Amino acid sequence: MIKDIIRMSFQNLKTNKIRTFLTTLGIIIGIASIIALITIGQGVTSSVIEQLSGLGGNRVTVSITNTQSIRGFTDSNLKEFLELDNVEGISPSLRSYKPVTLVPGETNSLYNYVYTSSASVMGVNNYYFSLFADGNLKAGRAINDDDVAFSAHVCVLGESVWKNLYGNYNPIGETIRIQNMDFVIIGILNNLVGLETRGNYSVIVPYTVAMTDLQMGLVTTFDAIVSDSESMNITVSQMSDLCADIVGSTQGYAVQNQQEVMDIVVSITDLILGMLAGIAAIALLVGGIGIMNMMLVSVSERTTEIGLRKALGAKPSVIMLQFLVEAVIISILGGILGVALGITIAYVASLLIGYKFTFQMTTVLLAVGFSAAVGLIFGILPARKASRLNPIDALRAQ
Amino acid sequence: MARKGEVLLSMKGINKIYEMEENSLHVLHDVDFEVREGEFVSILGPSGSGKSTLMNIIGCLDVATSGTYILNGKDISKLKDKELSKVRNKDIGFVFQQFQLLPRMSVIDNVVLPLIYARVSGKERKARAMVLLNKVGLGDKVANRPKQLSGGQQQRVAIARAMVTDPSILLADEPTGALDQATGMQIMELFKQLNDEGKTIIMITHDSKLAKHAKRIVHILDGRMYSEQEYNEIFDEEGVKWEDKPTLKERRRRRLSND
Repeated sequence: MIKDIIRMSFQNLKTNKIRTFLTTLGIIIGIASIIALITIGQGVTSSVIEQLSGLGGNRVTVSITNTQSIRGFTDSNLKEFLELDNVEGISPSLRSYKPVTLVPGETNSLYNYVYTSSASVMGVNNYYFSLFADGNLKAGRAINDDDVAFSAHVCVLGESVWKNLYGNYNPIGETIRIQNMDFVIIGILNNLVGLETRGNYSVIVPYTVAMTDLQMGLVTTFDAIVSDSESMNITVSQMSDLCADIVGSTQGYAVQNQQEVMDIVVSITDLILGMLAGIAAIALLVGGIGIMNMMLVSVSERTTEIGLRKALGAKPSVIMLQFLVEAVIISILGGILGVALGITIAYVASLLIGYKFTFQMTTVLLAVGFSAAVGLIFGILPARKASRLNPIDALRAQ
Repeated sequence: MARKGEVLLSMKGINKIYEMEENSLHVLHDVDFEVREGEFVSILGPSGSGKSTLMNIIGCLDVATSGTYILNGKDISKLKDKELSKVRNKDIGFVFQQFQLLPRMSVIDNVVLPLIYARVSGKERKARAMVLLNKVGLGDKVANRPKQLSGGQQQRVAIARAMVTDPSILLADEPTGALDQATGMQIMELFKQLNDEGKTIIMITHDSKLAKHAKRIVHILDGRMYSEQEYNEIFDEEGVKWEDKPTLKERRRRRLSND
């Protein structure tokens, strides 16, 4: 009998195609926004986590939090960190805004006039590239150990900077003037996504040059790569001790295991996702009310039909079941279409933003199940109303 | 099931009172009514006489305020909603004035509907519906929508639907009310044929000419039931009591004496 009821429900819904679709739309929008938000959120989170745990080893971020007692780490300070057991490398980072000039002549074939712009200049070493831009060079090469050791006047352009200055022209080998010093362009970055997007807007130079020639001050923060994650705690406390020595105080610096940062990031993104999903759930609620509304209209339109069905021997429970099935069909239909739409939105967003697109089957099943539940809950009231109609009154209503 | 001539339907002292906010409406007064297996009975009465209420009670769509109603050995007055559904499904075949076919469904889907509620399997449903559609002469229209058929054809579909569960009683409410004269006669012929084959039929109508197609007529007036004989003794042709209309009484007496 349930098979017959389902068949009849489809028949009913088909006769009012536009109304059925509009009612379904409420659920479609609700489910699509939930799915899109969750999928985008999961994608971004996993991209961030992937970057955070980028090298496979563990990272520790060391920073000066109070620059009044000490202005930053000098190059020799950094070398002390590097000499600690288990520290494989350190990735310092300095930044400052500097005038960047293109001077016409042999070294600048694109422009025949002086062009000056202001750009963020970032001082890093080779670890920056392996941490944040691994294999992410559009052209040329990254800054290497020798560039750092010899304070070479070379630079890598972030994608936005490159586009601003050169459009689509390949400037590898040409010269750019930062402040009053010439730098040879050795590479161009691809667009970076995730945690470290500042590189996109920066001219990247060896940090040794930034500290000395470009006078960008001392390093206030750097990442250390720890080779052995087992001894992470020991290494962190060694670093803390070293910081205390350098700063001359037990305060004013922070040594943070990247795992802790990752946990914080995950909990924050979870919180934001939860809130967004909550807002999307309101859309689903509105969709459910739409179903209830449509079913109530349907019950009063089909009063005669209900009366007839009762006269032909349909029990109240059967009438109730029929209207419930209709509501659930609408909501499941909306759920399936909503999932498809949501995943499409998330996929398009992944192409635009550039995170990794993934979706989980459990999310899909959960969404469809959830929408079925919405149909069931909001279908009960109209279905009860239909099942309780007095057949005489119902048959008389014409 | 009862055999031909045995009592199939028995009503004793049926009252129906609708309680309104201030007054109450006494629609049926102590109605005693009996129908035997294989009968074709007309219930004749003008509008407002209570015949629709009586039909609803016979059809188990409504229950009496007092009195007993035994149908096919079951005491209907004691049944609950769910059980009444079952009685309507198995024992009553409704035929309505406005046919009451579901417009979205094909002819055959309309006919099998009661069998769905009786939980008959799909194959058997179709076979039983086909037998009846052939019987009413619509075997070639099974896939049509009701709206594609004439009024007479639609009523034939409705009769096939009413017969499909092989009910004890075919209960027809003004079955020709929405049809023209000739088509109406065809429907009446169909009823007679079904009755000849043994089906018990109760027809409710306000049309005395139509009522004469039945083998027996009972009258209902102001909520009271009269046999044909009682009615003729008490009322004139227009349903007016003899005592209340002396001039009419006079005329009738004169007419009788003239004969």
